[in-house]
Amino acid sequence: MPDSRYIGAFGVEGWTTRSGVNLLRHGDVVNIERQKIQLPKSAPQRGQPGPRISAAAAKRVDVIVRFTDGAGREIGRLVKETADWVSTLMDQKICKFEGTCVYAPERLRTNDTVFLQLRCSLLSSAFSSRRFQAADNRTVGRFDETETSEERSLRLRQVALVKLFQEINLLPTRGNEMGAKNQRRELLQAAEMAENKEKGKPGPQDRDDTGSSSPSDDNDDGKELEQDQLDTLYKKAQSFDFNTPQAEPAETFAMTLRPYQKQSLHWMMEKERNVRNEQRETSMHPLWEEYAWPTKDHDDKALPEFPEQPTFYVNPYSGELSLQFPRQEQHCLGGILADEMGLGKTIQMLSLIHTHKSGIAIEARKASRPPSSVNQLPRLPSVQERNAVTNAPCTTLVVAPMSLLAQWQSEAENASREGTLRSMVYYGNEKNADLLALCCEANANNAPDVVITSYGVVLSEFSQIAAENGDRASIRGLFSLRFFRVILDEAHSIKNRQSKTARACYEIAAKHRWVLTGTPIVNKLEDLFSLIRFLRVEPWNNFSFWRTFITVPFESKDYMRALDVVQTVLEPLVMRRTKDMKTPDGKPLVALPPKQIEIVDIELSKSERDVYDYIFTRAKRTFFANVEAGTVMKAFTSIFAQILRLRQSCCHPILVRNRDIVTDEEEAGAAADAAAGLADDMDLQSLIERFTATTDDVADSNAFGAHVLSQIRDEAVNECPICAEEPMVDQTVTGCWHSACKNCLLDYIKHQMDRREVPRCFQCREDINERDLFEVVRHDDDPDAANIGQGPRITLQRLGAGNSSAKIVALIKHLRDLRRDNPTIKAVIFSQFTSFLSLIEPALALANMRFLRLDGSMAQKARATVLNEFRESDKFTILLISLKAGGVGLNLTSAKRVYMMDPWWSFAVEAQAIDRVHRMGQEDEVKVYRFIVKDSVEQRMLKVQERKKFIATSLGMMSDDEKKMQRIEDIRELLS
Amino acid sequence: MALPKRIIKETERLMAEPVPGISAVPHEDNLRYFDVEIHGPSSSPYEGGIFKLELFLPDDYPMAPPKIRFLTKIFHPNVDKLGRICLDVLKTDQILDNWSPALQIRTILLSIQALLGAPNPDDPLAADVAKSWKEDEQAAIATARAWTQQYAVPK
Repeated sequence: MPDSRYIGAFGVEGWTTRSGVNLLRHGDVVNIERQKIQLPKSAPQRGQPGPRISAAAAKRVDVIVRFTDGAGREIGRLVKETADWVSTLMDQKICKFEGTCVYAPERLRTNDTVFLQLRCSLLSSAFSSRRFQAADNRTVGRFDETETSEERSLRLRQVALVKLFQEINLLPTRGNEMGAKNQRRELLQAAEMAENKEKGKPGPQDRDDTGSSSPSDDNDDGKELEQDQLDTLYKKAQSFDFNTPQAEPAETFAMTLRPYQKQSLHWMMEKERNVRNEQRETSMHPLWEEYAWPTKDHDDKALPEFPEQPTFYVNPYSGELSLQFPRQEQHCLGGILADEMGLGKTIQMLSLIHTHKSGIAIEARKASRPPSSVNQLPRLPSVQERNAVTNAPCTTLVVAPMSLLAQWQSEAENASREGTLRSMVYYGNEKNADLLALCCEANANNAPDVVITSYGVVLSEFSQIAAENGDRASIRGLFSLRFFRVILDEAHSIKNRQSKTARACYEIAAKHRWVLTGTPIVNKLEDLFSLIRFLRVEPWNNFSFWRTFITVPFESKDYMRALDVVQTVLEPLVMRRTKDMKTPDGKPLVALPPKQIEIVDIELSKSERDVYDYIFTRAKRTFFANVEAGTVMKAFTSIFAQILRLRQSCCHPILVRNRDIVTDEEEAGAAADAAAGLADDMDLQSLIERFTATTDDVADSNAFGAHVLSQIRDEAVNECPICAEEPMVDQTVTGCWHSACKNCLLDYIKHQMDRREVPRCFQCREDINERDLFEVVRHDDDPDAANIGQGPRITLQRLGAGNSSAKIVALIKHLRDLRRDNPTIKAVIFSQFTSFLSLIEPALALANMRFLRLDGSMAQKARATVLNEFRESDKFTILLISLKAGGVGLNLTSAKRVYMMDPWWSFAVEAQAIDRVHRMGQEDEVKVYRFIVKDSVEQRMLKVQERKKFIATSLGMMSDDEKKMQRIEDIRELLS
Repeated sequence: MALPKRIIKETERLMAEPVPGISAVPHEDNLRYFDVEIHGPSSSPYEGGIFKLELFLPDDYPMAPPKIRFLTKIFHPNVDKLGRICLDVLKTDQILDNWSPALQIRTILLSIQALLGAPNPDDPLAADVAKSWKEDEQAAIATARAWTQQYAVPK
């Protein structure tokens, strides 16, 4: 390739910037130059050569292309439409232009029109390849979907090239199936939309030429999908054919697959074994077009020929140019398993791992004997080459959220016959392992079949490699290997293509690439793009291509077309079944046992109510004062903190007091502030003290003689003398040994106090000492406490002891009833406040109930231990989980009851948690109890949930401000 | 308002195991309102009479006592002209209040029946009756008998 090569010529208008006679005549040669930026005359010229100041900012608007005569004097400039793209081609060193004057008036005046012909040659520098580097390590805004500057310059280049080819009317000699002409128009349209979006952005760079050009990052491209559009899309994607063939899993797989799982196994193996492509003759990459170098110029003069290079190649979607034949790369040998949660995605993947192995792996396993002597030890590959990737033909890499690592490992083991599968968790301490040596082909005999790691590990190794200038072998870890297969679990974690995690995942090398997600599209079509890019599905993994055929039609409201295209993309890639699908004979795909959700109304005690009312009044006052003053957004943090306290006070008034309050919510910080501010809050303090005064005292039931207890136990009459309930509800005795229901007794005492009377016993009219009321606790639910031949053990518990709040009391009562009926059942208790879980613990201990706890503060190992213990336990056991730690992925099907201690803003989050128990593998009916305080914000939160049922999915995707607005609306509803 | 379990149970029991000499039947349209009949105790001036009373269970029953009064005219030191009864367990004032939620319709009616057998002129409600009772008990008892014959004996 010479320095430059002619590709065509075109006519262009220019306008003069000078006046005079005979400045320009037909046939004159003019130089085409980029206008260098000139500083405004008024600005003082510093000693710098060339105006370097704010080049980046100026470039954005500066597209001026001027033409000069032989002496270098400017005669005029190209009209803007042409200059727009000619400037890009010149700036990016793609083309050079030589001009000839076609027509100019004899007497030139400033602003006259002249006609030029431009000869265009491609520069050799245009063909130097540019690729995304592993070291691409820019910081990226959170959810924003703006173009990166890299994407922008690519787009400019692409547009300019397409326009050039249009102008010189050069048509491809070979191209992709889409008609080249239409395609160009669409390409330009797409680019234009992106351009307008950039322009439309409010930002300093538009007005301020000298300002820095930080791209505003709250610009959100990619419109959200409406629910019905999403539905249409899914409906198409999940037109699952129940007649597709099934495959039997390998013998080493120890579980039984359901028919639909065998079908997906068959499908997955088809995808992975798609060998046709390897045998196919090399075909051109679908995105590229082939062009012949012209042999004659526009004047029909012959051009110098380079026989070894008759053609060149253009990718109109990326603006890339190439001299080499762009080969169609292998098809994606993987796909998206998008079954709805609970259909057993993990199990299906494990069956695939067992059933489809590489030849090397099969050989290795046949000869699977530990090496008998040192001589037989495999020689490890010596990695010298930079950026080299070593094959790991036996290993499947699983990337999953941290909380699911242990579960993956245990499921992998459960699904395999003993000794047929080696799995390892690559996380924390185990990360010290030399993964490269372990998984390489030379170690095939001992290589792990499955390596399980977290997104965090992927990201951190990626960043390390980036710091080593992209040398993959510098860390002998994930990126040094080309795995047989990679699986991303909960793959919507990478839905933002600009997030570092997504970028890191793209770089994982593997022959087969799979993503697992129940929601391939969270709410934008772009979510899907990131998965496609990870899967390396040509050509859709090219963002420009994607934008042209999907984003743009969609945004210009051509929904059907966009969705059709998406459908075409998805169809061969996605397997998706939903829980409500029915087999042709009308049976549900997975017959999950029924689930019942019941709301348990909680009545606060008087002292709890006082605390609640106090906080409520104040929160309400603050909120509406701010509404009036228009400062809601400003005061958001403190308003939110007050609402948080309000919700906590529904659970337990003490929560409000704790300074070291730990919530799993994002506003934990705010809550801490709020709690700190409480010290001055004397009124509230005294209210809480009043609450604790009645509860801090620990019961001393031993003070009562055994005969009293047996008397109570043997008492024939078990009807409440006040309400006639039989047996009494929470039988409570007075100091004078007369029993009634707890509430009846308390009501009566209150009734008398209200009348300023000294409370007296309803039976014997003795004065009652309020502190001498004892609840009779019959341990008939506790299998450990049964006294042989004597009936259940009875203890007396001083009323209010154990620091119980109304909710805890109700919970314990529920659990005791549960244990009485089902002595070996297991239950899960969710709360979003870990500190509330800490208050529930002693109450469980008091009732002699076995419990375990799982929250976000625990290390991976500890979690695994807890989950394992819970699963294995065959006794009555309770698992306390913070809503956040337990929301995703976990499998808790060994439990049959769920207690939701407090409502969350959207029910979807709670439903997720409930589905940990009510998911595939659950064999019994699941009962869910949601504890809701009557006449409180909790009850109103249920209404908010109701209203938001349909937009629940989008909540996670809103910008921070939108989220806040949404919350403010919610709060208004709570307080009004 | 749904009828509390306690009232239902009491009513059922009054029906199932009636107290001799006492009947209490709730109104069909208001189950808190009872028509009561008490037979005058034998060897008392009220013997032979059947005294009608009305009994009403207020909303806060059994925290508060039932409201009850004689409908049949009766000459008794603890019953006034309006039929109101002076009985410690029925009082609602604070000092003498002897009501307890453990008491029931049945026990209250029994107390009233007992009161007929043993008038207590030292704790009068009808001052004039009490006065005549104290001054000339025989005459008072005769009057009581006459009133019973006149107002309480079914013709």
